[in-house]
Amino acid sequence: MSALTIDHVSKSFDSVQAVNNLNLDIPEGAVFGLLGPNGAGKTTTIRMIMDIIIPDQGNIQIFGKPNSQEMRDQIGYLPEERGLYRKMKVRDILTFLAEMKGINGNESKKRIELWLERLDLQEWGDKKIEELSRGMQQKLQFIGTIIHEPRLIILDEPFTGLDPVNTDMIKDIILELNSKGTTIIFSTHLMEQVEKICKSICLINNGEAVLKGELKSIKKDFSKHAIRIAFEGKADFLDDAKLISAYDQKDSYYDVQLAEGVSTQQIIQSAVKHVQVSHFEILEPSLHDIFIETVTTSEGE
Amino acid sequence: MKKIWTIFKREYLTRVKSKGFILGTALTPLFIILVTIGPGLLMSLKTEDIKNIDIVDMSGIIYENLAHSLSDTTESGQRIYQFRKVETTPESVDSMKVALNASVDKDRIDAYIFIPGDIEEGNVAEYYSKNVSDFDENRNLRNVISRIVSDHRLEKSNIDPVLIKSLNKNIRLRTFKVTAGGEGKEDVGLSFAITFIMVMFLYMALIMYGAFVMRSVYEEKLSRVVEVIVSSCKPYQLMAGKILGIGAVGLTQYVVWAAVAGLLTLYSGVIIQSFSGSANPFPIPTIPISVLIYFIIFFVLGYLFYATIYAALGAMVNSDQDAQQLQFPAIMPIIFAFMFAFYIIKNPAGTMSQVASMISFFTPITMFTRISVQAPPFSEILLSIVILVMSLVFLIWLAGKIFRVGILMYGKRPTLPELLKWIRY
Repeated sequence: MSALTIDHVSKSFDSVQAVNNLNLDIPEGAVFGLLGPNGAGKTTTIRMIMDIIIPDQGNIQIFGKPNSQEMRDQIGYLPEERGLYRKMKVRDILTFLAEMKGINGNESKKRIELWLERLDLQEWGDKKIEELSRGMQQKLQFIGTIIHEPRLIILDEPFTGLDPVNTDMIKDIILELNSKGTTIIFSTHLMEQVEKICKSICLINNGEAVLKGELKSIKKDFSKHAIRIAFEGKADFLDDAKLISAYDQKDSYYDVQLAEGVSTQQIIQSAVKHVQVSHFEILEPSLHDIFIETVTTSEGE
Repeated sequence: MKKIWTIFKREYLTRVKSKGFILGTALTPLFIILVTIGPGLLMSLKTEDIKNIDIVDMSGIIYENLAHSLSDTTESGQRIYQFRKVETTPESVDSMKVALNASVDKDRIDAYIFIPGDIEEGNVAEYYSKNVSDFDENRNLRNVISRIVSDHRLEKSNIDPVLIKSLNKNIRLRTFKVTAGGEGKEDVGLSFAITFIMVMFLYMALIMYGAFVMRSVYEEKLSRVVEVIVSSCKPYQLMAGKILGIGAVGLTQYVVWAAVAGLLTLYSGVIIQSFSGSANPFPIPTIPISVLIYFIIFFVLGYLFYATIYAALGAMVNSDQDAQQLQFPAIMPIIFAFMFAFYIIKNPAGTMSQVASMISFFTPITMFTRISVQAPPFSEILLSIVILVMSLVFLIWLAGKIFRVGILMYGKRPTLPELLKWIRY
C-alpha cells in the first residue's frame, strides 16, 4: 500500500510556481529521500501534505485515504523551521505535544520517560527549554515528532545542528522504526546522508520532479561505465582497445573507462588472465554528482 | 475541539502559573488601594506638631477672635495653633518685620501674620513662613480671617451675623435616578463613578489582553514554534485556543480583582473606622444586575473582537519593532471609544452617541456607557450586539486567513496588497 500519494499537485505564490504538477508515490515501509536545492519546493510540498498550505490543484492521499486531520495525526513531522516554548519544562512540553496528537495520561508519561532515557535526557526532564543546549533541544524536538508512534515520519533537514554522535543516535532510531514498518521521508539537500539511508529518492528542482526512482537504478543510469582496478604485474592488457577506451594511472590504481558494449565481467576475466588483481571496483557516480548534473541540465533547458 | 482545548489549557496554565501573573494580580489591587485610600489616610492623620504663630494686628479686630476660631487640638489635647500677640506702632512696623523674619529663620516661631490697620478696606493680610505650600493651612487661615472681617463689617452696619447666616443657607440638590423599575434610590454621584470605573476596566481589558494575544502569536512565530504546532492542528484552532486561553486569563484576573473590590466595599466601614477612628462608612454602591450582565457581554464580545484583530496583526509581525508599529492602529479605536464615553455620559441619547454605539469597533465601550448612564431601548442594544457579533464572525474568517499564511511568512512586513493576496492563498 502507498503511505503517501501526491497526485498532480501544484501550488503558486503570486508569480512564483513553488510546486508544478508533482506526482509522487511512496510505498509503505520505504525510506524515501526528497531532495533538491534550496527553494526547490520541498518544504512547500511537505506543508501541503500537512495541510498548512492548501494546494491550488491536485490531490494528496495518506495511506490510501483522503487527506484529513485524522490521517495527519498518523504523521510525525519535524519541520525545518522548528522551535520550542522556551519557558516550558521538558516534560511539560512533551506532554503537550503528545496531547496534541491525542496521547494522554499514563501512556503519554510512559513514552516520555522511555524516550528521554533513550536519548540521554532524563536528568533534564524538569529543566526549562532555555536551559538546554541546541543539540538537546533538537533531540527533544525529535522525541516530540515520534512520541505518538506515527506510521509516517517526515523529517525536514533533521540533522542540522547535531554533532556526529547525536546524528548517529537519531539515525539509528529512524532505521529501527523503519524496520518495524514505519515509513520515513527525508527532505534534505545533504546528499551523503541520503545515500546512506534512503532506498529511493525524488529530486525536485524549481517545483518539478526532475528525477525519481530507486537509488540503485538511478545510479546505474548515471553510471559512467568505468572501473577502478589495482593489481600486481604489467599494465599492458589495458591497452586492448577492443575492451578499454581510456585509462588513467593514479599512484596505486588505475581508473579505467570501458569501451562501448563491454561488460565489467569481460574486464575482470581479461585482468585475471594477465595480472594479480588486488582491488576491483565499479565506479559509480555519487548522488552529489547526479544531483549537480541533473540540476544544472534541468536549469539549462 | 479537543485540540483547541489542549492549546487553551497550555496557554492558560503557563500564564496563570507565571510569576508575572501572580504578582500582577496581587499587586494591582494593593496599588489601587494605596493610591486611592493612601493620601486620604495620610491627610486624616492628626499632626502632632504645635504651630507657634505671632500675630501683628494693626486693626485690633482679628487677634481676639482668631484664637477663638482656630481651636484644633493635637492628639494629646494641646492647641495646634499657639498665637502670640505682638504689639507695635505704625512707625516701627518695618523694623518689627525684620525682627520677626529673623525669628522665623531661626525657628523660634513657625510663622507670623501681619494684619494691616486698613484690612476692612484693603482686604489683604500677610502670612510669613518658611513653608507656604501647605494649601490646607493657608486656606484655613484665609477663611477664618475673612469671616472675622466680614462679621465685623456686618456688626458695624448693625446687622446680626447669625441672621445673615440663616438667610444665606444653600439649597442642596438631591438626585434620583429613574430607571425602568421606577424611581431609584437617591444617587449621590456614585452612579457616575461606577460607570466611569466599569468603562475604565473595559477599556483596560481590551488594550491589555488584546496586546497579550498579539505578543503570544508573534513570539510563537519568531521562536519558530508555530510550524510544529500547526502540523498537529489547523491554524484556526491554534488561533482560537490562544484567544480563548488568554481571555480566560483575563477573566481570572478580573474575578480576583472583583472579589477583592467586593470584600473591600463590604468591610470599607470597618476598615476606615479602624484607621481614622470615626465611623464614616460611605454608602455601598449597588450595580444593577442588568448592567453587570451587559458588562460581561460587552467584555466578552469586545475582547473577542479585538483579540481577533490582534491575532491577525501578530501573524504579520516579523520583529519587535513591527509589533510596536502595528499595535498602535489597533489601539486607536479603543482609545477613541474611551474618549467618546465622556461625551456619552453627557449626551447618552444623542444622535452621535447612537451612531457610535452601532459601530462595532466602538460598541463594547460606547454602548455599555450608554446602558449604564441611561439605558437605550432594548431594540437598540440588541441591534448593536447583532452587528457586533456579525462583524466578529466576519473578522474571525478574515483573521483566520491572514493568520494561516502570516505565521509562516518570514521576512518583511506585508503591504496591504500582499495582505489581500494572502486572503486568497
